Amino acid sequence: MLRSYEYGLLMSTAANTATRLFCKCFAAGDVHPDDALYIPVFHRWIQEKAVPGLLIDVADYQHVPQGPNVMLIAHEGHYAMDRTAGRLGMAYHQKRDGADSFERNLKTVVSNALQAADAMANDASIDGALSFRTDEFVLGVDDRLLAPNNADTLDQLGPQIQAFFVKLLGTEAMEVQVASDPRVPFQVHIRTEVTSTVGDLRERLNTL
Amino acid sequence: MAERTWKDRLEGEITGELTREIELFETQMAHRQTGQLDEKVFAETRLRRGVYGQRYDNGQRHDGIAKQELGFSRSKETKGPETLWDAPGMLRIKIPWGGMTARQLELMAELAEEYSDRIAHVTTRQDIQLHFIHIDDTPDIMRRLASVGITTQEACGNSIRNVTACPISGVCHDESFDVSPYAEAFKTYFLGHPDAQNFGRKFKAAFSGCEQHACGLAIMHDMAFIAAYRTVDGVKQRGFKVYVGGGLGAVPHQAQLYEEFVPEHEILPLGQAMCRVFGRLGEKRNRARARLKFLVAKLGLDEFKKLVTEERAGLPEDSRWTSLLSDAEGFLETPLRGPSALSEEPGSVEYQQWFESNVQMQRQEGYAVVTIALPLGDLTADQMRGLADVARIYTGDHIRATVEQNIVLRWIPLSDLPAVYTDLASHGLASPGAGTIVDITACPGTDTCKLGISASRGLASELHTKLGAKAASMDTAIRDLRVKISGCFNACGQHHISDIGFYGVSRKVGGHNVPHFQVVLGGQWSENAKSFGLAMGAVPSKNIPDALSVITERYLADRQGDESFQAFVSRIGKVEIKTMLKELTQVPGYEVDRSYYSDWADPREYSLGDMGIGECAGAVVAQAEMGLARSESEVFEAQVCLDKNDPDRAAALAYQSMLLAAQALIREQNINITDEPEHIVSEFRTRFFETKLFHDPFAGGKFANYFFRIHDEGVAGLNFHQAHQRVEEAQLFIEAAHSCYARMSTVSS
Repeated sequence: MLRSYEYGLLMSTAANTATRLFCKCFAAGDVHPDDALYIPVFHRWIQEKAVPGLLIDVADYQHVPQGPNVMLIAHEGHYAMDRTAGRLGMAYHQKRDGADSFERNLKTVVSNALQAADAMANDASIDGALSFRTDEFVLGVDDRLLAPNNADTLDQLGPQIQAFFVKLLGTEAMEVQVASDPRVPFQVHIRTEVTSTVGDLRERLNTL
Repeated sequence: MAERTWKDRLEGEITGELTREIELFETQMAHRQTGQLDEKVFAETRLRRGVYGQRYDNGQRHDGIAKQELGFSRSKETKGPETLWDAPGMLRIKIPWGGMTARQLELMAELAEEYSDRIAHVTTRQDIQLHFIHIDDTPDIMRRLASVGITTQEACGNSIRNVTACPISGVCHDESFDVSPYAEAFKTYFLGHPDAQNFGRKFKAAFSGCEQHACGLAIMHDMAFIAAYRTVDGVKQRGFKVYVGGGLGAVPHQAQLYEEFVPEHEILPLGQAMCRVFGRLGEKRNRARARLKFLVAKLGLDEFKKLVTEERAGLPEDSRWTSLLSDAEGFLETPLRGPSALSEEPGSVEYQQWFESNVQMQRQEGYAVVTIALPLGDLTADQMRGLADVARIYTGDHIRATVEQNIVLRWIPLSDLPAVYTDLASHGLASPGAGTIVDITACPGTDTCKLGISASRGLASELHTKLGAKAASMDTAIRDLRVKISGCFNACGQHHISDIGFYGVSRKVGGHNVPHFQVVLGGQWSENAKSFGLAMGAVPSKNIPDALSVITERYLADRQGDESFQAFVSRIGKVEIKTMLKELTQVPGYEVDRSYYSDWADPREYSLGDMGIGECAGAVVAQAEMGLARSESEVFEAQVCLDKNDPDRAAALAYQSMLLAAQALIREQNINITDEPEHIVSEFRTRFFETKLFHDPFAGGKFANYFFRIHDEGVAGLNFHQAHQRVEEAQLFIEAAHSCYARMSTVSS
């Protein structure tokens, strides 16, 4: 681990070039629909091309505890009604065809996650039983070469991520927590007390 | 400036040989993209590096309404015939004899997160697979794997696949000795060996420490080694009982005993000689008959042995035959902690359940093996890191993947078991039921496999949930049964060697395709997969949970004393089993219950090969269905005759069943078809074989050739084994007829 960390310190601006970003927005409340319900929704999204990307297939991992749960596989990235760390949320992991600026990639993954969350919450089959928080997000980078989970990456990416969420959430009052395990992907957990609606956030995102 | 590629980053950390190997692949990728390398050649090239295709990689997918083109931007670039460059694929990572270190497991987590879907999948050959991988990422993945001593080389393709071995070898009470170093030597010797590069098909090898347990599954391997001792002139020698010519797949063969005892220093040259004979004489053009099992069957064991012995005599001496084994006898794993006694505290009910099913005492006093039961062989990146932590704390690097898609930790001090349980539970890795009916093995099936016919994983998940809910109260006779599921007849889920197996098939009902599973009963897992089960009939996918209940409840109610499941199946017979399942074979009409017309965990209307449903095929369907149903009855009768030890009649019925199935198809085109075998065969050859209408998209004309062979060779004088094979082939021919018919229906619509 030390070796990776030392290597990371050499990477003066590398983290900015990383494109494998991810964003998770969390489901509100403690009671949620049966996870099996998300499978037909994702299949329908493929038919209707309901969310961005070349949508390919649905992967069911409900049997694995605290995992990606139910996934919508796309060429550019994967959507998931994710249960990592025991919390349900809509995640989007960008895998390829990223833009050449960190900020644009950041906007893309947050936008895709919010759009998918909005679509899931408003899907008729979910019947209003699911909503998403707008005061809590996880933003990370699945790239240990360019953005290992260390202080240098935080120095490079932390301010950009925070600035982005200040604009998105409309407040500077936010708590930013960094994953401590150097083995996990670099990720920051953002919490604020300001609430909004997913729709409002998506509108605001369009102006950024 | 700091390096921004894994190639630069890992320079000096990968052996020169692996570096060259990966760079060669990168070059070949570039040549393929510029059209300098033929797509068929490139396909085999990438397969030999574990880079496999996945479902929908032809760029088409039926979305439940219609077949859709997946609009990849590089729609003209291919990585093989009908395989688009951009389409996601699978990467198979070889884990020789399942042995992994904590760091290797952590790397799997990193790869799963960065390139895959955050899940790693343990396979039935102790490999690890990552899905939804883009081929452009594979060189980096290979470099990162190589940096921790792992290669994907020869994980697929016509090569020696991952060498498997008993996961508790070295700590087992019943073994002769630890086979791990021998499996390692075999892997090392043959990886990239020139004598193992000219096969018509894959070659699978396995090592087992004993005869009685299942761990090595020797009987289903091309070449298998069972540890043994012999004493010569008062000196105890290590060696192996060697089997050859086994395999599952569409037509399973049980391996035959090649030699009662082969001294340890002879196993590598013997393997080399076999590779040479297989490379020289094995079938190359017809992949369906290219496995070693067909060569052994064709030549006969005696002739095969004679050829191998002659080849062995002419082999140039290789010092590695012995040097690779020089440390084998002294091979010993070092536990991280000292032995200790079991706690006297009983622990929670959950702990006790886990202890009962997932903990085995080692031969070495004071230590245990802990099995982590992975549902469907899957675990998340977080779980892999958690498991690596547990290993580091309690056992070091003694982690092994198993052929039951689980992971075991060895050398756990007994007093640490409660803490290990707690730590595993915190990562969701302490599910009880390892090695029981809830611990179901399943291949990828229609989830990701191009060959999948039915949703093996969906069914396994459903059964796991249903059985898990009542596992604690289950009678041990039921709890100890094994269930294995394959998505098609190719048997990657090893359905033949379980008590209760299922493999995916389809049926046409009222003009609609309906996912089904063939029920296979009576296979034997223990004694290295001693016997293979036989198909009992196809049941709609959605009725399989009920079928399993019917079978197990009947077993519980009617078993005599300690009668095994195999003995029970044999005693009550196929007719009775068929009767038991008859009601469950019925499919409600499409308008009555549409749930039967989609598969588990997949709401799309079921289709084969992205085919649509023809609205005007009803009348034709009815006629063909009758003929095919009749042929199925005939092959069932053939199975009953096998049960009655009447191979002559069984073979005759198998032949008849194939004639009927062929006739049913021919009748779609020629209403004047007669009952004369010569006429049927001639018409079938002209209309279905030569036109390739009957060809399976992947198996080609394999199943048609079964039909031609039985017709040409006749059925008189076959022994039991040969008759058994003809019955299996008839079953497959009929399945192919169903598929052909489904394709015809779609075309006509």
